Amino acid sequence: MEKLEYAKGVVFRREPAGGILFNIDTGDLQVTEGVAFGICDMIDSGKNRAEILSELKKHYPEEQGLEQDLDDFIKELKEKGALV
Amino acid sequence: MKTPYWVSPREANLLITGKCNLRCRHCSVTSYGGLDTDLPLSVWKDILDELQRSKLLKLTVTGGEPLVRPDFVEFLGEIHRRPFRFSINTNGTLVTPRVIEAVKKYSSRFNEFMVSLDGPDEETVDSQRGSGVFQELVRGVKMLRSAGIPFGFYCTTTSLNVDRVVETAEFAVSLGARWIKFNNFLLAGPGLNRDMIPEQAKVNRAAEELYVLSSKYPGRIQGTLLDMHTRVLKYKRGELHTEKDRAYSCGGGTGKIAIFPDGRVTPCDHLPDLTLGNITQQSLEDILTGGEMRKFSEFMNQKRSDFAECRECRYLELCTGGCPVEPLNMKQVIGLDRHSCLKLALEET
Repeated sequence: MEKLEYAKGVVFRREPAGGILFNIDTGDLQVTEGVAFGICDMIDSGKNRAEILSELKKHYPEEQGLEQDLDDFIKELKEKGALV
Repeated sequence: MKTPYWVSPREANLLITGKCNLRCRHCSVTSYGGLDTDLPLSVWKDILDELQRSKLLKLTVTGGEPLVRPDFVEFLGEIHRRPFRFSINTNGTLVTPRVIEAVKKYSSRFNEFMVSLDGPDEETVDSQRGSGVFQELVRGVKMLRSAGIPFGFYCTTTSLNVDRVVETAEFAVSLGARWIKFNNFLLAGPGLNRDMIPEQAKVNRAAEELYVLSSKYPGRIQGTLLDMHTRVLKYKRGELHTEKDRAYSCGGGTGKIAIFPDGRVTPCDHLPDLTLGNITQQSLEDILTGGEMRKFSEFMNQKRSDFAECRECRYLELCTGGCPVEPLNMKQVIGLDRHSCLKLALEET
């Protein structure tokens, strides 16, 4: 079970619409909306990859390729330095 | 996945002390008096923990004069230990090598010093802030510059300096400021002198002069005077759009809060009397979803058209609404914000 954790100095917070990832050390800000927001919120609440995938499948039962989309998004967050 | 949730403000002004080494004539904080209860650092640590739990991102350390706290450097260490970016709002007269050393140590999360500058010379500054202040603040600012620490200036525009805004801006730039913000003098405290309110025509002229100067220093001349002049120019070009009929528009209590030296939370540091709750006794979420905040929101959400002076105004539809500080301090049910009034900006020449 892959544990997901924001990098030190990266804060995820909810906004009136969606959320943001804010890097305290650089001041960089990334807006998250829709499913990306939902995933970031679940990471923030301590859910691991399998738990997030399970939630996504519950919410989007008809959607194909959810697992690949999730892994792509996690990879993107890691490449940006938001996830360790 | 859409569920309702509470959204905390992003920013807070921390008034870590009510004490100040100066007695500035236009200061709303000292105008109220009675801010003598400074919480110890041990309690502020708990407050910082609560702000971290509530996911605030940016803090401005202010006062009073924050540098009068003997444990100021330790305070910065506690902020830096938690995930916040921070700035320091100071009169600039108490900068010491120890303060410089601490800020450099914590520079990865430090935005800037925000220093008060009310004029280009000793005569102007000292007339607002007291004898000897100009020399001391220039000394402090030169220390910041030598250390490579970023800083900008706030200039409160009063009747004493409204004719000297261009010289003040030039002086700020010559000192190495990243920016200077010219803001309106708010009649935001019971002890403030109405004689310090500048004539509207002079304010308008100053704003126009600053607008011209801003092309020489792109991005470095800022503040509410310039913001209003930009709206005036947009109006003249026919670029303003119809706005929501709302008396006031600011982020007080929603985008930003102030925490007073005794732990009281208010929507803004210019509203010391408007206590929403005390963060030493309640969570921030309880405070900002509580009854006092609801009352404040209701006040903010009144309509401009409910106010007799605005109802017949030809600019009503284009007006954004303004700052509630002066109407609230004057205990009005609803009132005009002079500083965001398009009619005053356009017609008082």
